[in-house]
Amino acid sequence: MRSFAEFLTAILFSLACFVECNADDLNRIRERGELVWAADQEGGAPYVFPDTENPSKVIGFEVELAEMVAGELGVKARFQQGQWERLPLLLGRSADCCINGIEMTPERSRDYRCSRPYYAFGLQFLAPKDGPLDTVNTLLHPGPQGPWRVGVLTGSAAEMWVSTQVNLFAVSYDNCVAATDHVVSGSIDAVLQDDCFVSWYADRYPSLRAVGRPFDGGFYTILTSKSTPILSAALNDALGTIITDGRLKQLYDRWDLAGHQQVTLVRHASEMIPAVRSSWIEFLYEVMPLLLQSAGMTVLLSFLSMPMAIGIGLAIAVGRLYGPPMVRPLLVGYVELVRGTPLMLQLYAIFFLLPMIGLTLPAIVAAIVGLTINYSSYESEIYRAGLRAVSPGQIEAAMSLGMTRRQALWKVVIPQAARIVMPAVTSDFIALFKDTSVCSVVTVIELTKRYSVLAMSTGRIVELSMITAILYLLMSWPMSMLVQRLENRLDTNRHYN
Amino acid sequence: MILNINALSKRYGNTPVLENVSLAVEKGSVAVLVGSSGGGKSTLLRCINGLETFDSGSIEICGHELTAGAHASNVLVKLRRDVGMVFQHFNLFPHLSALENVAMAPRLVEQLSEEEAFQRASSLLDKVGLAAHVLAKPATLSGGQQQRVAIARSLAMRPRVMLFDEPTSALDPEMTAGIVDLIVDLAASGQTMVIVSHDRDFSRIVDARVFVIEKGCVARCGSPAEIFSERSTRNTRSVQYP
Repeated sequence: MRSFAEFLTAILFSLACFVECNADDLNRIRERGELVWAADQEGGAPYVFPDTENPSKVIGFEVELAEMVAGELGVKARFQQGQWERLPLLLGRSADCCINGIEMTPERSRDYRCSRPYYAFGLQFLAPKDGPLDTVNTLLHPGPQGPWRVGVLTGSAAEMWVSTQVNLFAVSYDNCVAATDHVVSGSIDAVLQDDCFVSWYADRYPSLRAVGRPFDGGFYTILTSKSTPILSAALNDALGTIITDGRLKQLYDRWDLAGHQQVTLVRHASEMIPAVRSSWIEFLYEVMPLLLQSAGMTVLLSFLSMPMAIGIGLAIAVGRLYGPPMVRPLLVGYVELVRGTPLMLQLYAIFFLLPMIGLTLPAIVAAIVGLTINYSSYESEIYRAGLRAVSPGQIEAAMSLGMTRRQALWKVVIPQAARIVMPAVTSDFIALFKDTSVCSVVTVIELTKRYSVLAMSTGRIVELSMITAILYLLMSWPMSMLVQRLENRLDTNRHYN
Repeated sequence: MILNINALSKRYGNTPVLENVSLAVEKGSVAVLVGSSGGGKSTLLRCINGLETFDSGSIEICGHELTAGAHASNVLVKLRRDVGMVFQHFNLFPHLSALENVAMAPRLVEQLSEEEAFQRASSLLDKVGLAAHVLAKPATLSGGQQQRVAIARSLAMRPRVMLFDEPTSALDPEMTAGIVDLIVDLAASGQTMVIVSHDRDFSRIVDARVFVIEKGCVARCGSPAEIFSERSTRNTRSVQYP
């Protein structure tokens, strides 16, 4: 009897602790006085976007929704910026919930807690008014030059839908506005977005038109962590109250989002059935082809960019040390400008600004050009140091044998400089290898971006991290070995050739 | 005269380095420039080869003329095909073997085929006693061996005049003896040479003219016997000047 009482006490105590721990998530928020909600302000209107009159402040229908929901919890709402496809990773760290056009999917229902829906979206195309794309049916048949190029938001329902269509090619962007700009410039044929985005921007892009009616689609949900059930329940209650008392309809009417229709749809939305987690082997079978394809892109970008960067860098270094005096300030200016600005900005300029002056480059070409230009500035400094490290006696000896200055440079000085700088250039190559991940801003899906998208959509972050890390090692290690061999072979202290 | 230097002067800023230097060298003869450090010997040698410019005067060598100021690159290229130079610190190309060092200029400048250039290089390396080291990289050779390669490299262009800038200063006495012997043999074969050196052993070269360069001027000139002091110590190879 005594032992049973002790056992019962232990059970009750554990239950109390469990409830206490989970009650903590909501209590913590109330004690803090604020609900931290994550979104990506680069996503554009009408979701969450900077106020043009006060850019430090964000506005949008989801901003007002967050404030209403927080108010129902008795706290204030605080915005936390994050990249859209990585917002769920902020849960439990720097955000309590995510409110940013996040579609409710079976995978998300499995890996996170999805609130009741707050918006019903459909997918809709936006295409040039004077173009051939006047109906959805046109887009579902082959274009004159092969598949239609359709801009989509990375990791979105639109991307998943386009990837299932044979006659469409998905061009993935980090934000919808950039994709739409590219439709205007002609870089892509159309953009597929959620209908609220299309409704908002259709008037703001007079050269574009919505194609067909919204189709497919789903619901937006507020995402919370699996470990915060109390908060999730409280958010559901808050949404229920807002829907019932008419504030949600008023919100959508203010933002011209068909308030009455929305409230009807979300009120009667059925619960999403969570996806079943596949086995490790099944998962590997699903993701490996995509990861390998993206790894190939990483290798392609690296092996095309680096040699060109080395060539340009060497030319700049030679020009600075041995070129005509009038050329040197120009070369110095190039190096300082390129070296002093971020690679991402340079990629943006090449991909998004050049079309404004009539020069449109395919995404891969833009990525290679950006990487080449950026790394050429670093290579030029490495080679300049290498050239200066070669003793002046070498060029004197070469010229005293009757060689021209050019012959002395190319046959005597530069080969020595190349050996001196090889370790530094190898390090730069490995750095460029990893920097290819930045190219996702110009819609190039390489390995890191692919990892990010798959992590978001599958929730299997640990497994994907391991596989991606192994793939990177498998790519970079042979390269390091090859360079080590080359260094040994070219070592001037070896006895024989 | 194969070399004629007329009233050559040079300053580094306000500091005179060479003042009104005049000297002449006959074809087939050897001129040895001696003097204390900083006297301007090496600078004079570098002016002859166009590695340094000068402020006034002229140099005529192998039919090429150099005047004050910057020299045109095509003039220098042609001059240096007739005038070879061996440096104090060898200046071998470290990324190339001894054979490649010697063969490089004939291939690039004279446009010889690889086979011809390597044949000439091989023969010269044999002549300087390095037949067994043709494939060796300079870093694996001793100082004396490196200087032999440097001499062979210069001879590969068949220069009409050879310039030696302190060829033994970076070597120990044992290696120095070998190099001196080599240069003495070259002199005996009729090679015109100008040698800057502290080493009195070059006085063994028959018919050498010794020029004492002090404070940028030619202080004295004469035969080795006239110039080198009988009172120099037995165990030192250094020169005392009257």
